[in-house]
Amino acid sequence: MEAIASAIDFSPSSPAYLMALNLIVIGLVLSAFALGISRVLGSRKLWSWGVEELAQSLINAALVGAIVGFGTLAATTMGSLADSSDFSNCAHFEKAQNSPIAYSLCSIEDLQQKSWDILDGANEQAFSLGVLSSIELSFSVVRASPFSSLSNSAQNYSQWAQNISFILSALEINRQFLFFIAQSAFSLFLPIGLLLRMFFATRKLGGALMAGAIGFFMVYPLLYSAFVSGNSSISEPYKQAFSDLDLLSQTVSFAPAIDWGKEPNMSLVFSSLQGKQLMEKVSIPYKSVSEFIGAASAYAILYTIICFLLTLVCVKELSSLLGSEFRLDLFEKV
Amino acid sequence: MVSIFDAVESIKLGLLSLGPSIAIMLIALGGIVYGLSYTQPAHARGKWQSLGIGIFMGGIIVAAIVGAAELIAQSSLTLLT
Repeated sequence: MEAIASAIDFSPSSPAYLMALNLIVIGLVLSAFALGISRVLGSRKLWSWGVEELAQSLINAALVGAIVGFGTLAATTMGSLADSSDFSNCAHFEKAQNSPIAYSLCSIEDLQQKSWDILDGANEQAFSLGVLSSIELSFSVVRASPFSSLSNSAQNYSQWAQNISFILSALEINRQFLFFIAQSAFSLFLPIGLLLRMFFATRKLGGALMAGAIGFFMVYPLLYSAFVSGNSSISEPYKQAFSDLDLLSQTVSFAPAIDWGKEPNMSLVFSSLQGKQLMEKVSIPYKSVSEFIGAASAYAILYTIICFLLTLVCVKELSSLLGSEFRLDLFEKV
Repeated sequence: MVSIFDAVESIKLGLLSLGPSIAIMLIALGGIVYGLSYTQPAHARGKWQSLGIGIFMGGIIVAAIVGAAELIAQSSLTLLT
């Protein structure tokens, strides 16, 4: 948790910022050497290269300044979008308050916890209903399975548990991706991008790396946070699904714990389920759990894909902008 | 990661300490070449003088930019904001 808070720090006193500044100074000094030596050798080509490097170093510095400014703007935007009371227990939000990436991580972890709760409930009901549906009563000439119709419901609950597992996997992929971005975007990709951007041959690659770092560190979490902010659309289905599953649990959860070898226990099962409108109670969570799975899928998959695609477009545009040459000859023509 | 930060910092410090030395060498060399130009015959003197001035100007440019590199970097940070 501590690593996330320190990794996403790009304040003027942070190591990543100081490293970026050092790289800019290195670029300026190299361009000074090129300009000076070009005067000694009388080389116009080296002079042009030196001027280009000097201009690119100034642009790099301006970009770093703009990133810091954009970070402040993003934090201000997050402050108005997010309600800090939503994540009072979230370590990321506590340590890196108002950072979009911290808000996204907290949202994902909150949704993971909710999904775990519903997954637990669905699994428990699938097991209880499965046990009940497998009860067979053998009489001398007749064999009956009074709860066999519950097998379909047990399968449904089991299927929901699988769906929620898939949603949890998708959320974990997103969370791990954000962790990776938080730890390496500004401390690794941005400085490497700045370094590669200083040289003509690697300028496009450096621009692409910088664009990727900016896009995935700032644009992607900001977009995702905007999508999931005030996620009341999942809170209500979650509360309802949790309460419906709890209600069903009170009715059928005793089934797996029964000692089926004793006949009195059998009569206990039938008497406890009698008159409780079992099918109705079994089908009540269908609506709320389906709604929860739908909403959670939107957060885990749909919004993630939309944000990812929008970020890719942003990165592509930024990449072509950051990888372009200063084109001093155009200014000379003017 | 700390070692990368330290490596970049040491490269910067190395270049910043190398800059003034190169600038002084170029300025001194330019002066010497310019001075030597007067020992040359008239038809070659202009070539020597322009070479001396070129070396001298190269030294001045290196000194100016290296000396102000950190200031230029700090000032450029606010160009877009």
